Amino acid sequence: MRTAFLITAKDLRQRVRDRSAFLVAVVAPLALAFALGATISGFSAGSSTFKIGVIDLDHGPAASGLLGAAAKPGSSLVVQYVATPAEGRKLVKDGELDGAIVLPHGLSVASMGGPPVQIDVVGDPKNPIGALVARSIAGSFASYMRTIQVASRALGAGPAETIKIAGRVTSSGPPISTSDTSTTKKNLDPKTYYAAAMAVFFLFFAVQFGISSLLHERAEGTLARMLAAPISRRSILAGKAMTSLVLGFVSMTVLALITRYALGAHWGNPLGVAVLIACAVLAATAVTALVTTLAKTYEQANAWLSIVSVVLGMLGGSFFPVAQSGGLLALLSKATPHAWFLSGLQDLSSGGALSVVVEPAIVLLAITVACGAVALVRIRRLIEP
Amino acid sequence: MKVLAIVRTELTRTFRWRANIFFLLIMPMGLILLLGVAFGNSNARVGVVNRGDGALAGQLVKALGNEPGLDARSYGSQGSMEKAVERGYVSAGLVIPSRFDARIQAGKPVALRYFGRPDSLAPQVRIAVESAVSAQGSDIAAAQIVRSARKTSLQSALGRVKAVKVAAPVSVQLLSAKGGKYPKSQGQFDRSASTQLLLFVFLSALTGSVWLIETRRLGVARRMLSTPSSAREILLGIVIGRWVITLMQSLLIVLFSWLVFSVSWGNPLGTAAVILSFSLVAVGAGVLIGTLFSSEQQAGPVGMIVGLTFAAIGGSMAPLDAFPTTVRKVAHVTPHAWANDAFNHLLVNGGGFGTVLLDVAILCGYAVVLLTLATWRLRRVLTA
Repeated sequence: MRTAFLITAKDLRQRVRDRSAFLVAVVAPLALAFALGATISGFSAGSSTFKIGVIDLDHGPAASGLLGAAAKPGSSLVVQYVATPAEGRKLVKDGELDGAIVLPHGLSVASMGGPPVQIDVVGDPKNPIGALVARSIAGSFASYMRTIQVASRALGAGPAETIKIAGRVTSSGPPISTSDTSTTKKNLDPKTYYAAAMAVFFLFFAVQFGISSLLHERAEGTLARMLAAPISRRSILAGKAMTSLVLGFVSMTVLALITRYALGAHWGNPLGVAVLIACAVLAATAVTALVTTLAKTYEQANAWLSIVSVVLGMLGGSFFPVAQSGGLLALLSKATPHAWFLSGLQDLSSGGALSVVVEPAIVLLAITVACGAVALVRIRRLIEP
Repeated sequence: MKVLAIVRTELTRTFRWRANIFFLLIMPMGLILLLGVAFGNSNARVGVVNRGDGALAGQLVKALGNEPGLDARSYGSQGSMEKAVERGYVSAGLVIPSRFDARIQAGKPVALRYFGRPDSLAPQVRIAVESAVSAQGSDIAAAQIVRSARKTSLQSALGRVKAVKVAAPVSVQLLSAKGGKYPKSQGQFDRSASTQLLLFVFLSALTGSVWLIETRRLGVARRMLSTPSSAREILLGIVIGRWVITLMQSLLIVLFSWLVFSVSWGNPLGTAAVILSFSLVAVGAGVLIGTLFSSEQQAGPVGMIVGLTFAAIGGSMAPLDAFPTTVRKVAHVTPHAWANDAFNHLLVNGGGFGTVLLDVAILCGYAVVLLTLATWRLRRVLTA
């Protein structure tokens, strides 16, 4: 065991000296977490007020009906009157309005059984939610008009009665409605999300300095020299594995501390975070070991490891919250250690009890055991002179 | 001629290393696919739990799915739907209660529970959901008026309502602010293709700096200098070689994304100008990094850090439009931001060559500065 520690100490000294470990394990994730946290912070929160322009070419009573359709509690809509359709289009294009609704001439007459008319809704393709809201308001209004018309026809009502029917439709309320229930929020704020995502993404690069350096030592001839000395293969292996684990654990811990105190990330219960970090480091080391045993040369191992780390990171949501997309992608995402680490943190930082880390921890350990077992069987061939 | 020979050597060395094909081509294409599938469609998502078993409940689910701009996603239980709302996988959730049909037919008002997170788009999505619901409830609302006026059963009132054949008095048409019809969808992969092109062209040019260090370490540079060729020819050969690799990569990404994902690349002249100038910037930055470090272990990570960070700040990970205003100003320190602006003019606004002149001029400025620095450094480290 002592020799294993010596090997680990030698590896760590080497990595500290050429600063590569520091770059990969600390500088890179911090720089990216900072950049992504700063740029994407305004991304997930929806804008609270929507400004919809109304162009009333009808000048009749219908406009008030539309405003009734727009006035929904909690929707925080602001309605602004605009003089001409051209002005409305310009305001929408400039982003001053989220959408504009043009009430055509003859709308009020149409509501009394006159010839049908068409409401034009103007939206900006760059602001699809604004377009959706404006279109939906007009759509609700169209349904309201249709209800009045259908009821009035079914009763064979004249204009005077139709007005009464309109009043009754308004006052009786819709037969189907929605009632609002607020849920709590359980996603990480962007700062924390990207701090954690970058930490786990670069973890896969940091642990490469341990296991995969076996191939480097073999190519350089230092492995043969170690084997000639009274050092068991097990010690060499243990030493290399410990290098990976130490680098991984130190890197994650340093990142968690720096992002917590310097960037204001909220990682959640420290004990739970420690469990998740430990399991993620184990899983990353096992995956790295497995890929290393499949490669023939150091260069090949490096290339494959980069590919595996990048692909797992992308799928696991290190750069984009892939799980949102649903379907096959969300399923593939679940196969990555990154996704489990991040979802464990999500539950933890939203105030979940410690028990929420049990499931992700078990999955990460299962990945460790599965990859580690195969790697152990295959790794003997790496430790040949 | 000697320059060409050096260019050829650079190309051979790059493509003989097969992992490069993955990093230069397969990765960017994979990411364009992934981003397009995951985020290309900007519809708002709403999770639906249907506990009702009747036809009306089924119709409502269908109507929600047909609502343009809204994606209805089915969930088996309220628990799983709530979890999806809490995590932000869907903007909101809706529960259609059991006995939905029976209650409506009995004339009782039905309230659908709507789940939204306080900080999300839920209030806006609710307006869209209510629009679909109101269309569904229209006949029933009319029937209730008829019932109370004629004092009949709801069933017979509904029968009378259904018998009325009336053209909808008001129809709704969605138009684009730029004039014309609202586009059905702005190609699912369009946005990700141009942003990922920039990300990967720059990133691979920077990580390509490792090759330059290998050129020095293996003595390739020294051997070239020992032949009767001037330092200038060698510098030119190396820089042009890197540029050709970058351009080949860009061209292949453009071609593949156009053929496979039918991405439209806008005005060809404008796009070519942006790609040519941006790739020069990337080559300048890559060669410069290759001359500033002496080991691959250092240059590799530095290239990755700078490449990914610039991409993130420059709008190649999240769109510049979504940045806070001050951050967007700072973002224009990166060449990515200018190139992304240029692609925005070309691809989103359908602009011509003239619309990107300023952006391309600024990119050329970056290229001149970086290439001057890079060749000056390169001459020093090669001839030292």
